Amino acid sequence: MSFFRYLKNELFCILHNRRFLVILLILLLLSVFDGLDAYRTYSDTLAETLACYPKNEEGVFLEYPYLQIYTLYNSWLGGRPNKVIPLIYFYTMPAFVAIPYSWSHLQERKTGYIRNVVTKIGKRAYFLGKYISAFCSGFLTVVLPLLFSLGFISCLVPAYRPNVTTDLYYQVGQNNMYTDLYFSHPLLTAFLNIGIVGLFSGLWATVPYTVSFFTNNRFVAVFAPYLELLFLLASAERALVFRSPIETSIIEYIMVTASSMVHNIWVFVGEMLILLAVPFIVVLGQGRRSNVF
Amino acid sequence: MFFKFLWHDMSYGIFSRKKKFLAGFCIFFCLSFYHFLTLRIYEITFPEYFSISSTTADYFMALVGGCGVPEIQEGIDVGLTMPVMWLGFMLWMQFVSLYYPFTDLLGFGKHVMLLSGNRSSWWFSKCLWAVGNTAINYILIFLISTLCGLCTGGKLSLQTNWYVARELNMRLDLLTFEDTKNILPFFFLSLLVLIALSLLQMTLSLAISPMFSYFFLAAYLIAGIYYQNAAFLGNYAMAARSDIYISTGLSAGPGILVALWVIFLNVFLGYLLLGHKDLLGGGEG
Amino acid sequence: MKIEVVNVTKILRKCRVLDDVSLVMEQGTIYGLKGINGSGKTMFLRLLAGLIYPSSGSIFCDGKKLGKDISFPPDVGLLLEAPAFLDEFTAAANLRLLANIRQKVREMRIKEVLDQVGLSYTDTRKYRHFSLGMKQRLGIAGAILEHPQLLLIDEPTNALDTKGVEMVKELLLEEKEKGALVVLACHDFSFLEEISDYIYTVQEGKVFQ
Repeated sequence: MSFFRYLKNELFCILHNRRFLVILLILLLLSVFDGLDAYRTYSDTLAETLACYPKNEEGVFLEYPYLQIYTLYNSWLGGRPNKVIPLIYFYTMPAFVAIPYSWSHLQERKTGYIRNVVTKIGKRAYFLGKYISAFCSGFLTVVLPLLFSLGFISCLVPAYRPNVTTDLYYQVGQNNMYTDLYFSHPLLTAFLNIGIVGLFSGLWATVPYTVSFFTNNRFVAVFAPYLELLFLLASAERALVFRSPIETSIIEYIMVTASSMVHNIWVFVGEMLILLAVPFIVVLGQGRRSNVF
Repeated sequence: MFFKFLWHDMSYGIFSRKKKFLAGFCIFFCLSFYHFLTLRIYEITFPEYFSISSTTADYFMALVGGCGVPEIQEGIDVGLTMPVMWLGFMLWMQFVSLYYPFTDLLGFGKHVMLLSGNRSSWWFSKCLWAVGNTAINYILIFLISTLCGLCTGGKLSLQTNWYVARELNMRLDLLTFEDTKNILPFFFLSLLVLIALSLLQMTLSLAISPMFSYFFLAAYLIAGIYYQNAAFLGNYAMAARSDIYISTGLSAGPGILVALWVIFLNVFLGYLLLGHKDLLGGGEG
Repeated sequence: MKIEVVNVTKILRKCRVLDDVSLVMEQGTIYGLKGINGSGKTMFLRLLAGLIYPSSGSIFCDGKKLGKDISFPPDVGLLLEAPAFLDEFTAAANLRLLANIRQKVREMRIKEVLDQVGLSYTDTRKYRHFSLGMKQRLGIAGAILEHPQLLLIDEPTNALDTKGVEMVKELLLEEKEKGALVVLACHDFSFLEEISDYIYTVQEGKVFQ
């Protein structure tokens, strides 16, 4: 029971953490700007369509107007192809999910607060609790702006079902693991994508926590994994160029919009499993050690 | 007194940070070696693309070249290929300048500042530290990539070959050269831009906090990948967007002026900010 | 509660910080530790708290071996080195977070203990804005919050004014009356003499009376 109360405390700390609130505010603002840009594109296209496409006396289009080229599903933050804000969002994600709470263990270890808690619930419970709270902070940091974006855009842009004939406007190509579901159940795809992105960011947020066991420098704990990820992505891309069309970048897998490479679900699952297993094993191992606090 | 500050910063902030240099050396050695080995294998597999043997300059360019301008239009299937290597390199260069000024300000540097009797010496010394630190790390990476190039059979040269443009997603019809081009002008331009970015980050760290400054800088660099514009300084640190190598690139001359302007502006702004900042200490990051 | 320290030695980074220490400590007693800086007082307190394990020897808490039968003493209040709380929260919020874990005490107790240490329950200042003395007071409040059976205190009088020192004395004696086993490390020998039932000297890793 103490463990669950401790988790409740941690959730309270996350939601009242200044860095979490600031990052959330920045991301929400980005969602709003991106949403307004998407709406502008949609409304310009709509105005052009209404002006250019001929209609009969009853106002029915005489030619197919292709209004669905701009729909909710390619206008929200997670579904917009080739736009700067989603690009910033996804490529800085490994940095901003780590900033709010991933290094709280390091902070508590340095200040000595860890002693106050560990003597009440035990080491393993503390470390596991921190793992869970790091995961939650990463998950919430990313999912809330995405949900907000989906909700915000749904108030502005109609939710036309994407049409395969205009797939260039969605950039969800045939090599994409989301393709089938995207054209048949686009809303489900959006929620599934939010879940996957949330899972990735939650797991990623545990990586700086893990690194914090090996360093006392908060900047190294928070940003070194991000840099390492970038270098790994570059190396993997290099390894397979001209040899294999399989996508290896985990960031490209969590984005609905396509890379030009082929998605392989097992590559994605493998990478996520590594992201789950390695920090978790390190955390469990730390629970057994006799540490000097 | 100022020179004492400077000596302290250079010796403590650069030369005694062996772990950081070792980490940088290991990362870039492994990366470069791996990267260049695959390039060499490609050269052996497709010799028809290599009229001249690959050079150490090719390897450096592949590392720091960035990517060509994305030609994105609505509904057209031309995606942006993120230059992850370039992004990683740029963020590494900012990372090595990230926390020393901050930890010094909250720690030992505070005592030194008090003993010196003024804040400006601390700030200007840190600016010079940022310049020195960036330059040393940049040259170190250049030397590592050269070493790896030599280890994998590359020719020692400052001339880069045209086929590197393919790697960097540049339009081959717009190249300003046919066979080879010297990398030295770009080398110095890139260094100047990196120094400007380091100083920008230092000033932002004073104003907000180091963690957020790094995040904003990452977002700024990514925005610069998307837009080829003089407002995004990162463009001048991309060989693929420089008019030295591509006719539609940004001019190097204005790039130098922009970088110098950013440098002086940040030195001045930082001086003003520090003059009014409360040095409370504590663990804010 | 009864603590038995049996032939405990602790070697840290090739340095023998505690050397073959044996003692028995009973509840309802205050044990003072004195010694110069670096003599091993804080290390001893850490061992008693279960935060570190002896290189050899054993520590028993009510017959149960620390580090084997139990990880930590079942009911311990700590103030080791500097007080440690969360910067983002007020004094009351910090204590509430700690109290929430075991839920042994209610909100009234938080108010009571803050009054006892001279802090305000309604103070909206965050911990990061506290002075050193205020942090120390909150540290003491955190240690005695749940009326622990074992109280381990390191330098309780740091940064405190005369009134604060008197306050600490009263609180520790009150906890002793309630049956706590108090182990107290302090440089202020007169303070130790006034309050302790037994005083041990820690010197070069050895503990003797």
